Amino acid sequence: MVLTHPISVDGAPRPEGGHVVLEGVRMEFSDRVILRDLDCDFPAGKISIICGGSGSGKSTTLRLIGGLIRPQQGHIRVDGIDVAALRRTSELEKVRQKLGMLFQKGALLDSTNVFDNVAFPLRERTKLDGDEISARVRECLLEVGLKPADERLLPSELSGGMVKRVALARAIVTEPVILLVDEPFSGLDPITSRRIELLLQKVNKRSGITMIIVSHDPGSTMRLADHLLVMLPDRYVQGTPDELRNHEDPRVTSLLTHEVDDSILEVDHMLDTVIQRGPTDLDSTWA
Amino acid sequence: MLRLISAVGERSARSIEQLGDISIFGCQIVKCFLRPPLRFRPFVKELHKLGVLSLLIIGISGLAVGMVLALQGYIELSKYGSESSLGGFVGIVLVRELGPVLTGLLVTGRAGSATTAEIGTMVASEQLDGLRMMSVNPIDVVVVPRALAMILVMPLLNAIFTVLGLLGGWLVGVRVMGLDSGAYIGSLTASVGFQEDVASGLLKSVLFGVLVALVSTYKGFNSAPTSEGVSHSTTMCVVTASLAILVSNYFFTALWGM
Ligand SMILES: Nc1ncnc2c1ncn2[C@@H]1O[C@H](COP(=O)(O)OP(=O)(O)O)[C@@H](O)[C@H]1O
Ligand SMILES: [Mg+2]
Repeated sequence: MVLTHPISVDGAPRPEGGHVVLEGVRMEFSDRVILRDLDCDFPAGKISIICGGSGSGKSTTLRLIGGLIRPQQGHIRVDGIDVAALRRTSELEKVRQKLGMLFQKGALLDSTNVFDNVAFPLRERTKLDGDEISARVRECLLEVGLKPADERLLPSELSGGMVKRVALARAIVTEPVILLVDEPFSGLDPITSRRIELLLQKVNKRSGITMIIVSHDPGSTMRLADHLLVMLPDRYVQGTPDELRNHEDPRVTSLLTHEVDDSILEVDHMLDTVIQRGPTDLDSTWA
Repeated sequence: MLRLISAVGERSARSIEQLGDISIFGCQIVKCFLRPPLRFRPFVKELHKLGVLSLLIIGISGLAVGMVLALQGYIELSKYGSESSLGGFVGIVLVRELGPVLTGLLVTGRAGSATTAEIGTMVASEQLDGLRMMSVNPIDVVVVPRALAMILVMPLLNAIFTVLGLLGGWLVGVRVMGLDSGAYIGSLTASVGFQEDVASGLLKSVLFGVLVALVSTYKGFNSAPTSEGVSHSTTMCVVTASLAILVSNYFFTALWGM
């Protein structure tokens, strides 16, 4: 792999591609339908945010795009290539070279230190020599705001915010064109959370990378998003923040503003309970 | 009644399915192992974790088992006036059966369970998915070093267990019961042959090493991504691997003589 878009150079050209489209995706786990007929479009180079109740299938959507799981139906196109149809690991790996993923809890290898964690994908997947790898890793650590002194720490010695930073560094070190981010703000204090938010924004602006972020945090969602996907138990709503701010469905506005009008608790199923019921129940509520 | 039959059928079908699964898993491990590069550092680290850290429990157990064998053996043998063959008795039992089997069971409890829990925790914390997203095969990085280390460590620990068991037998037979040391050792060397006893014992423990390696990595790799899932897998690793050792031991012994 050749590294062509050094992320730390200001005004670097936007990488080619980075467009993700889901068409009619249906995902079920042992008879529990999690996603049904999900259609959405994540524009290239933009920050898209997925929000929805817990258990609505947000992480599942990211895992589908990464090819970690396969849908029962539908297409998941990453720059035109249908990830859902790929059967061979080698084909999948080609698509994954375009993808970076930041897992909710970081998913750092807990037996190796910060430096080795970030160097890992370079050592495994590129022919760079030791010096080039070191330079590249340091560059990325600097980019996410980590000090050289932090390099030797083990993941267990890091704070929640630092774990996210290291995970971000590891995700961008191979220069993907699409970054999948699962709940970057969960479990962080507001200040750290804001730092991570600015960091994600900076990375997006500098490298023109497509970001698909799962988040419940209304404030940062409205600030960051160019595009929104709201996952409700019975429907999916897409649009720009401005379009959705005054959406007719009160659940959409609740998720985006954090202000819950208690009347919707009576009328609608609470966002997080529907999934627990059987598929037939869900069928009847599916308008 | 019908329900019972269908339940039994379902269970057996699931067991057979799992057996097939484990075999495929084993083939993947071999495939990854044959494809360079070999990851030397993680392998050495695992050798330390699985082998060196098991030394104490293996040593103490070996000594204790050898001592109690000599004690019981001496009492029984002296009824027929053949205390002098105590060395042979302790040697045969330890080298052929108890050494490999007890080492296998102890390593399962000490190291196999740890391997399952560790890999299971990596599943639960999405570390394996992280590797997949980096286009790295988790079997290559996580499973192969652990499996190889387990297979190598098992016969070595068995040898240590057996030698310490023989020493324990000698201590009780000679030091406590007052048997002649020359008689103990003479009877030992006369009865224990290399090919039929030592080689078979070592081969057995290699087989058990393969079984424990397979079961412990498989259970960890396929554990549900929750703390409950990891604890269940760990339990199932110990149960499955122990049964596999005991059952395969019988068949190995039965077939080796043929
Ligand atoms: N591998 C799996 N096996 C079975 N059920 C799963 C699996 N992954 C996710 N689920 C279920 O799918 C639902 C949605 O999960 P997820 O996408 O993680 O939700 P969230 O929107 O909170 O991220 C949950 O009810 C979860 O239990
Ligand atoms: Mg989630």
